[in-house]
Amino acid sequence: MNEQGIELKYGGMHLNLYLFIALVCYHCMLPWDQCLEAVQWNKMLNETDVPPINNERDGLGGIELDDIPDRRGVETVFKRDVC
Amino acid sequence: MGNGQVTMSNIFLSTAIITLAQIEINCHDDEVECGTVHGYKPSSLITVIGTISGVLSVLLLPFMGAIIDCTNYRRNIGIISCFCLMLVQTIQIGTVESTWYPMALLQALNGFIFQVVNLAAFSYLPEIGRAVGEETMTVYSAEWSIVMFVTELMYLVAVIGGSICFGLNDIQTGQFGQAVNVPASGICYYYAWKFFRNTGARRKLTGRESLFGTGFRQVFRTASGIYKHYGPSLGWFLLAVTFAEAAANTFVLVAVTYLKEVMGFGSSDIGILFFIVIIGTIPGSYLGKWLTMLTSCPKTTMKLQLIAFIIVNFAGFFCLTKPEQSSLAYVFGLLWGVLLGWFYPTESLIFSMIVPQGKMKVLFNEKAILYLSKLLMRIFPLSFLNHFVKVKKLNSLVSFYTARKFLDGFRHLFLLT
Repeated sequence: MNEQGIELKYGGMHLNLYLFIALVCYHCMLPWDQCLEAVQWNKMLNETDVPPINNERDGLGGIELDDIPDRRGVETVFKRDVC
Repeated sequence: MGNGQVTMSNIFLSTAIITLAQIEINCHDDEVECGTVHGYKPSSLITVIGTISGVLSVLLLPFMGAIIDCTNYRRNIGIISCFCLMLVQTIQIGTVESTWYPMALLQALNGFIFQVVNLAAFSYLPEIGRAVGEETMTVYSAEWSIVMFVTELMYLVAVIGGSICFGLNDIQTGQFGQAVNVPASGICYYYAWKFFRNTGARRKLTGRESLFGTGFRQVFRTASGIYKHYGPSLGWFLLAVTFAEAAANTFVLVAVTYLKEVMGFGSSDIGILFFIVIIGTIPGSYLGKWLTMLTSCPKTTMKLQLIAFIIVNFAGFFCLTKPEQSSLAYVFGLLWGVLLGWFYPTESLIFSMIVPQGKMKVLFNEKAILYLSKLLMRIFPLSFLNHFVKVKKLNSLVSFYTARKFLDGFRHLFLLT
């Protein structure tokens, strides 16, 4: 814009475009209380860091992560406390 | 602490570079229309420098991150990058008419090295956090922020004071700024890396993994995990941060050029204005805190902040068009300071509250995403500014097309994985 001779003030004003897109993104977020609820249990921790569940000793194997509804479910599967 | 002085010294050096570029093509007087120097208008140079350092950072930081994460050279990377940063800063004391162009190129490299210094230092945070506990870490973080803030102010006072007392011009102020910066930040970096210990690799590479691919792959894996599990909450938030940070970070670069070119500000005037901006961040932080408590919802506070930022930005750039309005510029400087002080803590608060509970490692990866997204988007508006109507200019070091590709890749990372 500047190189084409467009005034610098429009360069400054165009930053508003990014702020507006950010505003739209915030607007698309879940309501705040639901955002907080959604992160109570770390689903990514299980997916990235816990090896596939194949607990042969307790007769449990081939369990998909999606089958575990919540933290309590993880405790049940592993039969121990989950920190 | 050292980072504060380095960041602030850029303001004075940028002004000096613009002035020297104008002198080279004899358009330093207000009445003369500037041509181009090395293919660009002097007023485009700072944004071009920012674009180059942004591209370098985006391409190489994941690689540097992988070295820090997967090898035993984390401390070495930190020490070497700090040494390089100080070396560049020292060389830049010699910014004069005959050397300004290589110094401008060095400034682009300087931006990248600065990011590596930050990356190496931040990589110690999870371990420090684990060692001292969450509460102590929160206190430490607050104290570090305050110390950095105070050193920034002290540096600005020293350089502006020196500039006014000795009657320095823009170029001399740039040199003086670098000369003050080298010992002031150098001593901080020296002690920082003296106390950071050598630690082993956090993760070993498997036989098939390469250092270059690992960093990108890790970021991609975390991004797709966020999209899959937390798309409507954390996913949208990170996307919002990407765009909001793009505007907020670029604002500083644009402001220096704007104040110099349109408002006719000299180095010390720009320094004083940024001093006011930093002072303005204090009431801004309290305003953000008060509104968050009032609404009980940081998201609403952030939306209000963005609306206010848009209005003030529009009014500021619309009203400030002549050097005679310099006093009005200080008023807007204060307003921008309030907005930035409201913006950053509120954003950090939302981030800390909606990051899933769990191991620090995952948290750190999300921070890496946040960090990378900021860098990626920093490129975009700068490129937009310089190359929007100029896509076909092949000799551009960084084209709009390249920046758009980055944006596309980043958008796909979030939305299509």
